[in-house]
Amino acid sequence: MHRVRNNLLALLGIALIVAVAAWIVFGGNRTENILGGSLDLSVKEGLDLQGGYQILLQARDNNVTADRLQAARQIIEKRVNGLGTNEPSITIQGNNRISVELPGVTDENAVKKAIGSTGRLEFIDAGTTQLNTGDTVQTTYCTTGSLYQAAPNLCGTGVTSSTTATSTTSTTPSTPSNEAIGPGGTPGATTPGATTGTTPGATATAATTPGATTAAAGGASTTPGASPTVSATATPAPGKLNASNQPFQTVITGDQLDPAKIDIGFADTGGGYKVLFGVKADATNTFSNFTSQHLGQQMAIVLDGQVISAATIQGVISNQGEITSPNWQTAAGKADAQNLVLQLKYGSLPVQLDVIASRKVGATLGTDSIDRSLIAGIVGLGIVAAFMILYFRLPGLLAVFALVIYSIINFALFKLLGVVLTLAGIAGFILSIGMAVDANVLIFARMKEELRLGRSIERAVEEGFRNAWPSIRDSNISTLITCGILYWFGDFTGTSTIKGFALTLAIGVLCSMFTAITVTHTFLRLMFLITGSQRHLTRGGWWFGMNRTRRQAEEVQQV
Amino acid sequence: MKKSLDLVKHRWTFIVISLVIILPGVIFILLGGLRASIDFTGGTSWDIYFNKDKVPAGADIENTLKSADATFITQLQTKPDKNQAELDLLAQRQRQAFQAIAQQSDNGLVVVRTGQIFDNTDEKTVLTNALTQKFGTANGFDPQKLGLTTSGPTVAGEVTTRSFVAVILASIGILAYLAYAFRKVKRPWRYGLCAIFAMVHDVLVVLGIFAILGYFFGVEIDSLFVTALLTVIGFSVHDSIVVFDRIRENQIRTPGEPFDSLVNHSLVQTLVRSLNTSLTVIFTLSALYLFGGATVRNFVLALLIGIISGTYSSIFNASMLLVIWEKGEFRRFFGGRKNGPKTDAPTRQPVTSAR
Repeated sequence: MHRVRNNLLALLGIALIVAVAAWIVFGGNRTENILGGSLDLSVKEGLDLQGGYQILLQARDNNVTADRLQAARQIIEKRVNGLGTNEPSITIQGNNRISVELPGVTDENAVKKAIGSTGRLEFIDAGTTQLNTGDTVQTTYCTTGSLYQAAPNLCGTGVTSSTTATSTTSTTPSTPSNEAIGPGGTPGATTPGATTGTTPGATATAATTPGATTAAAGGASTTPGASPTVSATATPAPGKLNASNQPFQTVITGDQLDPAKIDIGFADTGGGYKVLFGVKADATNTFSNFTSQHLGQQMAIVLDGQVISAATIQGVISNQGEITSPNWQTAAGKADAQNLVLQLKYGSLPVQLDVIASRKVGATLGTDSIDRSLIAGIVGLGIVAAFMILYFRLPGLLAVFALVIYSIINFALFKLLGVVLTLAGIAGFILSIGMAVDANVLIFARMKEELRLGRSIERAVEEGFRNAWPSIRDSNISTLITCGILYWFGDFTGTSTIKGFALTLAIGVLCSMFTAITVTHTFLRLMFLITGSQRHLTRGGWWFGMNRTRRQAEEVQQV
Repeated sequence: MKKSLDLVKHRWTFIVISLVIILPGVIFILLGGLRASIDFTGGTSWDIYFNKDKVPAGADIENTLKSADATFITQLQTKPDKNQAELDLLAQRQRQAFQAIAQQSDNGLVVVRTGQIFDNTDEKTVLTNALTQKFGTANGFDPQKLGLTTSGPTVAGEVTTRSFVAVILASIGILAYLAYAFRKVKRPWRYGLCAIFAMVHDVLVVLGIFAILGYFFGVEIDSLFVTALLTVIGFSVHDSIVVFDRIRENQIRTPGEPFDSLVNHSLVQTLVRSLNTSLTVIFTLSALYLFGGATVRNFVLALLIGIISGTYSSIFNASMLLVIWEKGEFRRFFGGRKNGPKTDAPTRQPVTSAR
């Protein structure tokens, strides 16, 4: 009775696992919310299945720092996000490489833009226009190559300082410089010369945010991103123009920033963070002239035509400035500030990257490949099933059940673990179908042997499983060792193809240990329970693939 | 005891058969039959799909690409502001002229191997446009289906090194595991080494057949081929283990049985099983080969050859070598000792139970 209960429990467990797996597999691609967490249950298709572009970049400078590489990665990621690809993956490989995978993207020009080293960082005169992070703008540097030359006529003076707006980041000079910002209350009221506030702590300025007018020290204010309302000007397609329908005047470019002086710092009060930046000597005049003439107005930092920070000018800056925001109080805010630091530091790609390998797969090829693999899988499964049933009969049939269960669980694992399916990966999966029955073949062969020795069927089954185990274990471990090495090999080549194969094969091997052993074993035991007595089956050697004539012949041989 | 199938008796015959199979392959390997793909040499590979019935001549495709590239290079030379990639491209073309070699595959696929295309330039676009112009309506060329793989010299060199390292690591890893798994048997390293011999056999068979295919049909080996090789290595050992495992078990069960008869017994007992498991894998692989996509066809072929060879070598090589070694026949074979094998010293007596 005890055994009956154990077997039923095992069956229940198997049924439960299969039910969960089937629910995962047959529900289509989706994201489920379970226990408060979200679970991504979609099939991730590799480049060769859905088409796309993959590029491996290497820094020209061998001694590139991790910091710079990380910055380059982030910049590429930002650019790539603009391409509208499903799930771009930009990862650092080794210590001088970046791998970029762009599923679904086949437009060469878009890709060139994403990986080109042409990142252009500009500080622009936004005048009264309230810009928001993410806005696309036209700039003079971009259109005519013009830079602000401290000549008033060049940069449209006379704009009043009416920062209506909510969201700005204020730019204030930092630390002991000859200028300082005014203690100012309202935006725009800051005047140069209002003096000396040489100590950083003293430089309180007004917050421009309506809600937060508290003037945190160091130049309060707000941040990127908020009010989308303001953009005064009409927006022609390529990017916003300024109030007078002209491209925004570029004040300085990223080249004129001093990377050594760009850093994150603690805000003077409030416990948040601020971003410090320095201007190179040759640009300090330009910058201080500009800031002094445009106090209270808007200045924006633009990367590749896209606003990454918009701020109110709070003081005259010559060689050192700082940007603060009330949004940089939290940990997430710190990340934002750090991101800005990286962008300022490495507006254009901080490292010269060479394309050392690339791969482009046509988009329409994928579906064809999937269909063909599916046919191959079904045919393969069919032949194996036919073989197992014809050769091993009853246990073979059970093994085929186990094989179907194996396929379902395996595919569920692919979805759960987010395995990227590639053509080679599918090949690995189909291959593992053939291997999955390997354990069963071993076990059944042992069972037959035991039967030949005259054991009862039930005993033969138990012995078969027990005797076959060491071989199953050893051979599977050796396959797993190979999978590990394959994964290492594939990981290096930077392609998901080989990795996919190694992963699907490894999952297949592990999964087959469960189905071929636990599932088939339980099925066989249950069969004895159903048929009642083992004596009934003892005469049923045929069901176990024993041909009487052959058995007799073999018995002669054996002895 | 009635005489059953005696495989071990013919051990040298099986080894000779293996050598006969391997030899032509090795000759073609030496003749340079193995064609390394761009994965190892660097360059660009184009998967160009045409209308199945209107595949143009290979030379046509080659010339279209070559002349388009030549035109592009001439124009590029006069371009005022060249970026780094463009400069690199010009330098590269100076060093080495742009080559194109077309290779017909099936289902309208033509694989063309060319010099390295530089991604950060307009080269790719220009060449694709040239193909569209020439073969678009006439031959059903669709740029949307075009597949391109480029591998620079750095990556190529490293993939080559890594391939060798991976194969060596796999061998060492498996040897070590076998030695561990068979630690209770006398001289466990022998089992590992014999399994490695069988593995080398399989690797040579696969390499040899691909050398022949490369020599006559221009079939290339790429990093997927290395993947197939590594998988074959795993499988080969897989099969050997089953036989060895039986030997280990029988040593314990029937102590005192002479080693060759012991091995023979174990072989006969596992023969059907070995054939069966290989058959199931061969079934699925054949299905993949016949119905799967064209891009993984050579990969599947390599696996198929390797697994068939692996089945043979585990039955007819690995265990035979074990016997040959155990009986000291190597020494006799290589003439190390004039007076034949050492008289059976106690060391070579049937291995007694290790437990």
